Amino acid sequence: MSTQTPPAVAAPEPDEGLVIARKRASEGRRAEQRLGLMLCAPAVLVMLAVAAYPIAYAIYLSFFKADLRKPDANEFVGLSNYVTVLTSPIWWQSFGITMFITVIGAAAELVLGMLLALVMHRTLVGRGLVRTSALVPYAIVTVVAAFSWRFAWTQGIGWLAGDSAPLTDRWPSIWIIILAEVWKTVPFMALLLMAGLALVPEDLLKAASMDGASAWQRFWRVTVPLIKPSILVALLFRTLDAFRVFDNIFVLTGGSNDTSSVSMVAYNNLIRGLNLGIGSTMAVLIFITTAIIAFLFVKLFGAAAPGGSGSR
Amino acid sequence: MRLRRLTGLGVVAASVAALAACSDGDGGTPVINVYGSTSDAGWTKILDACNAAAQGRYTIRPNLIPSDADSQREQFVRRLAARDEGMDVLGMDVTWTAEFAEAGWIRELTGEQAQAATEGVLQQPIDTATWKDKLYGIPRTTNVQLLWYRKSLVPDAPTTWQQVVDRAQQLKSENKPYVIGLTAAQYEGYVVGFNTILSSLGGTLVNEDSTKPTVDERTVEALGILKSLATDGLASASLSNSQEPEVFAQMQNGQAAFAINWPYMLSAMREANPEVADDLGWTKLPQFKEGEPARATLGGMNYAISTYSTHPDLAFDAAMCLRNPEAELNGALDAGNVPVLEEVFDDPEFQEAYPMYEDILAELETAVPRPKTPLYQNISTIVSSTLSPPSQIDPQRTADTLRTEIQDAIDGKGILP
Repeated sequence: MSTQTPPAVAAPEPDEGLVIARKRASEGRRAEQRLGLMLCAPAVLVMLAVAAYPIAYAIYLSFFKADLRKPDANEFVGLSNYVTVLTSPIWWQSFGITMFITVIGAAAELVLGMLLALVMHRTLVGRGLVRTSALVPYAIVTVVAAFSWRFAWTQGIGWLAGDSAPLTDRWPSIWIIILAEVWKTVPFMALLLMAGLALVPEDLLKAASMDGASAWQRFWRVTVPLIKPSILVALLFRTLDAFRVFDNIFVLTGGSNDTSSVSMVAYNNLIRGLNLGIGSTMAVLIFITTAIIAFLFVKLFGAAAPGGSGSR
Repeated sequence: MRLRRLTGLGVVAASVAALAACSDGDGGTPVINVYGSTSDAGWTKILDACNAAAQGRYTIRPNLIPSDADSQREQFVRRLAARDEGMDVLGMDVTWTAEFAEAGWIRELTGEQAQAATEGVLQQPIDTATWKDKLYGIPRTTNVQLLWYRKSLVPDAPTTWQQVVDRAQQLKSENKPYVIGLTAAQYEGYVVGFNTILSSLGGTLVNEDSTKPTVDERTVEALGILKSLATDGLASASLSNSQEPEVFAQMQNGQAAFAINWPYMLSAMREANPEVADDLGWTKLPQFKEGEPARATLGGMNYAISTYSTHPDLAFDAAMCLRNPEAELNGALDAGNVPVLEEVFDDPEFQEAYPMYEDILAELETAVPRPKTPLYQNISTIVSSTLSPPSQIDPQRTADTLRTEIQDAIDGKGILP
């Protein structure tokens, strides 16, 4: 650190002009800061209204026994909702399923997304066409895509199912959910990774090539380290997203055969069971879990992760 | 730029105001929004007749809702909890009465209205619209399951469950179709089947005021019946995935010798497989306890008037028209809805379309509603998930699980899967 400090110079005599100039500068900075805050304020206020208030309200509700059928009979129960949820096998079962889908899904998306990004990055002819067509799955509404998958895997009418009925068994259902998730979000992954690839200097790759590095080595030793920040951003986004998986499961299995994700269970208790207390508790737990995942990403991958000190 | 945005806002505001203004119908005729069963075959006929009969007092506007009961309830609940004034007549599944009434979302019918709503109506459907001795709905359709069988395979209509099982066993040993079809997938229909068996044995799931589960040795016995059906090889291999369409298909493709299913079986089979339809026999549900008639679980739908309706009296009149004898007959002939009015059962046209009407009436005599409790949805979810798959039932242990989980649900501590 200290090696960076410029060589010490004798402090110049504080002359009047300099003092005024400094003062003006700091005034200017303050005014700029004020302007900045004011420009941010509307956005911050809207964020508070649409995000902070519901979050705070959900946390508040999670300490109550609250039923939408009896809105006037809320009763403070402290942490008892948390005890109920955290001791419930149903919660942990869906937690396990969600984790499984998240980990396998994100890993598959990373690999396929990287391949797709390389293809999109390296295509010479019809670049626009390749990129556009690769992004089609991401442009389709998830529920619509999920219905297509559901019909494709339905016994008798689906082109993928034939005589089997995979969506009526637990593990085949889970793999189909993962497939639908991966198919849908690989383009997103690829898009983020491609942005990273664009930052890799061609010269560096050519130099490595001159030094005799194979394509494989160039990828692992040059490209990957350089685009590590992009990889982590992509992975973090996808992990957080995948942990909240809902629409694909809702359409494909509706949570039958123990395929519910935590979001499905929270939905069932909130919307179907009208149990605001338990449902909010689950929502808060999902929120905490995603926060932990984000925190671990930043801690484990350190400087390269978004939010880490080196990311700027 | 700013000016353009402001005018944009102005346009939006104006159109919102215009929308609000026209929501009360053109020319000041109140609009009665009806939800539920508005896409039934032939319903437009009923709608047009009622709109004509209203003579400008009101206009009935049909509204589409999701086709499955769970999603329908979700939409109702969400909108009622938000005090939505846009719903007047609610077509309610018979299991929602207690929940909606307890939450204060639907109006109690009293005096003349109660009188009109129940006059000439079979008693069991009235019970499904009643909660804590107060009437909350206009009974509209009812339903009970029947025992269906292949006449060529089963010469004498069985009267007890044991006879059904024995006959199926014999057919199996003779290499003939033997399957007993039952809806045992993890859904509401499974609860219907279980409730029928349990009630036939004299059992219930919760007590009268739904404060305690009533799981006892009869529950264990009922679970035992399901367990043995699932494990003694007489059910379809896909028992745990069977909903009504699957049970129907087992009969249609000649696998099944018996099936427990709703009255639509006959008319649907005539279209799907006339050969099987000609061979299709029906009778009352078998006795699960010898000497005691089976107690079928009631299905059906009632019309309720939303608490937040701005025209409750007109809404009542509209609902009554949609349920008049003519509408009931048309509904039965076109959409297969079983009527609740006694006089429709006497109609020769109805009797011709429903040759099993006598069995339906006989079953209705002893039919039972599903557990009447504001927490029905939660309890139903618990029952269908605890009992799934049927082959994994361990009667005593499963009964104990049911007891604790239903108690948890009643105490608001339970978690729904």
